[in-house]
Amino acid sequence: MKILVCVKQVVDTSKMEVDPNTGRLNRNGANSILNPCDRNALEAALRLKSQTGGTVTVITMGPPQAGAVLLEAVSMGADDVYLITDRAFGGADTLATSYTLAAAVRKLGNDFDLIFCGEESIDSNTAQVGPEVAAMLGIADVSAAVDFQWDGEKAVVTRQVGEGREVLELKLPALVTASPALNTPRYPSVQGILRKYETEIHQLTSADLDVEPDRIGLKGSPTQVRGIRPVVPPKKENLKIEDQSPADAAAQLADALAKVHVI
Amino acid sequence: MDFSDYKGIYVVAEVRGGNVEKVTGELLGEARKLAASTGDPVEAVLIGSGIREKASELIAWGADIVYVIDSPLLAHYDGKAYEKVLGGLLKEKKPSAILFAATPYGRDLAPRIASAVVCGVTADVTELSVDEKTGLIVWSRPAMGGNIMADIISPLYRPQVGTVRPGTFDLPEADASREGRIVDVPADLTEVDLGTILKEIIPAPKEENPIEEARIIVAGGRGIHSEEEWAMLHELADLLGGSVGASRPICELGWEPHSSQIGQTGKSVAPHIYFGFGISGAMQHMCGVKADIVIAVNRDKKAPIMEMADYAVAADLKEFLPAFIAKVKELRDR
Ligand SMILES: Cc1cc2nc3c(=O)[nH]c(=O)nc-3n(C[C@H](O)[C@H](O)[C@H](O)COP(=O)(O)OP(=O)(O)OC[C@H]3O[C@@H](n4cnc5c(N)ncnc54)[C@H](O)[C@@H]3O)c2cc1C
Ligand SMILES: Cc1cc2nc3c(=O)[nH]c(=O)nc-3n(C[C@H](O)[C@H](O)[C@H](O)COP(=O)(O)OP(=O)(O)OC[C@H]3O[C@@H](n4cnc5c(N)ncnc54)[C@H](O)[C@@H]3O)c2cc1C
Repeated sequence: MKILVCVKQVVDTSKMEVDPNTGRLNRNGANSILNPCDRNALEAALRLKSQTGGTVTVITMGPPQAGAVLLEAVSMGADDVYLITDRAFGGADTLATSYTLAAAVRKLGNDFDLIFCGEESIDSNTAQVGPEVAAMLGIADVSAAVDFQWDGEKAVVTRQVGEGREVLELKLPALVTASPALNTPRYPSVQGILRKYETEIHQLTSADLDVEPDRIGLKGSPTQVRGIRPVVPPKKENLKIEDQSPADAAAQLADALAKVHVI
Repeated sequence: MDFSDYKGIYVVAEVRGGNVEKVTGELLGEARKLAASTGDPVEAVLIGSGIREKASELIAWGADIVYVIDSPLLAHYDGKAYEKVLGGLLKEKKPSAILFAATPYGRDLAPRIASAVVCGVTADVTELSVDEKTGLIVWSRPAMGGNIMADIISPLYRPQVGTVRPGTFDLPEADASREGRIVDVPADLTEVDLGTILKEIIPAPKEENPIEEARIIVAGGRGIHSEEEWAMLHELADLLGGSVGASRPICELGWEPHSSQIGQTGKSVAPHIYFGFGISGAMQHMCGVKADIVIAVNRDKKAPIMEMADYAVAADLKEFLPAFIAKVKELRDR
């Protein structure tokens, strides 16, 4: 099978905090990392390849330093990697990102049986890029898969919906986005780490892709972030209920919580 | 750019198991508020199989027009098929804005529609407003691990689209006497348009509600003295759509698995709301709690947790818990 994985380099948001005094975002030296559930996407792709043979190709769109996450994918077992990079791609929202990724898929032959993405990134968590890419390519998708099986003939995917799970047979070609529950990603192998040093990162620029200039980058992005403000932690309510009968105390608390929509 | 042809605030109904989910009402209530500033009509799209009779619910919640796309092929959510029928309708109708529920279905369908129609989508919106000068909808959402709020607009593209989590907005009072129009839209679909074939629906066991992902945690400690009382915590958690957490002594008693223990030797949790029932507030427990709102109920008003809580209630749990559950049910049923 020909398998593609889309990965994103993200800021490790778990290290960041809002300074309660200045309201500024404190990066605490947060590193750039491979988006965590993209590892689940890679793992699913590598397992599928070990069942069916074929290749695992990995792409990312980003600045040159985003090549680091491609090398990480190589150390896990990816066969070849492409960095989609160009100043013209900068400032893309999910639509422009997906448009560019879909153009790259076409450039690479548009003959992938399966495409895996992460469910969502940890820095802007829209979870939109996967389904957008699928729709641009006119193929089926299942978002936030919690299970993926290849039974030799069919792909069977499970998604969580509320309390329940839906088990779906997926018509290929298709795209699947990986939730963190999909699998346990492998660690890089020694072989993989060594291969990292010999792997060439192929580059694709806007000149290599069949893209319309007004559909990429900032220009091709319908959503504009007009402003960013720190989330001020909700003020302590400081509601004390004392010296009441338990029933009165219960009623007072319930009413107070209904006011702030907890109930 | 002239967007004068683009009219109407649309809501795409969330249908699960043949029923319209409550979030649809929340979205319609919010759409009415937006429409009050923009002067648009509120229109809804209802997609499913044998679903037409539900259209009146949407009118009662605030829709002026309901488009019904009804076909046996639409009995279960399928991204590709739903995109085809909804995308077709939207291209023809040209809405000014569309609200989707940020559920597993809506979070898949909205971006597919964005690709089909060529427009932007703001994900997981928690606040909505209309910019007075431009008439643009301002979609606000948390980002960067919840550390910042981003205000997002779509000045150069229509429709303006966003997904909204269930429970974000108030459910409006349903008004059965409201009048509205129901419009049947033929579904131009064949088997080939489906991307998936549903094999099975598995109800998930309750334990699969990991506390680290819960928005509401109902935690209990040694102030709860019997297993019967402990069962009430589960009842409350179910009512609130939350998960049960525990202090270490409770897990040592075996009333709760270790996977529910919060604190230094358990899990760190960051829910929106944390209830501590009969928990003293030991540092080894509280270091694992990073909640927006902390609610404590304890018979000792000097217990350390009472200092840290936003809502501190001094009461005996034996009587408090049943009374509180009854009151929550009463508020729910209203
Ligand atoms: C504060 C803030 C808020 C934002 N809000 C929105 C918004 O509401 N709507 C919107 O359209 N844009 C928004 N953006 C822009 C958006 O963050 C970027 O377009 C981003 O590059 C992709 O979105 P994401 O990280 O949410 O991707 P997601 O859709 O969450 O990512 C899912 C998966 O898609 C794949 N993927 C994503 N990006 C790439 C890539 N560059 N290369 C390869 N694969 C990729 C990966 O597999 C990833 O795991 C926002 C940006 C900021 C800074
Ligand atoms: C190395 C180490 C690691 C630890 N790790 C953890 C950990 O990960 N998680 C953890 O939780 N603990 C941990 N502990 C234990 C911790 O120090 C506390 O002992 C424990 O959290 C106390 O649990 P509690 O609040 O349920 O019980 P208590 O401290 O006994 O508090 C019970 C509370 O209930 C109230 N109460 C009693 N009866 C009623 C009633 N009828 N109605 C209302 N209120 C009532 C009391 O006033 C009291 O405040 C650790 C300790 C050590 C030394």
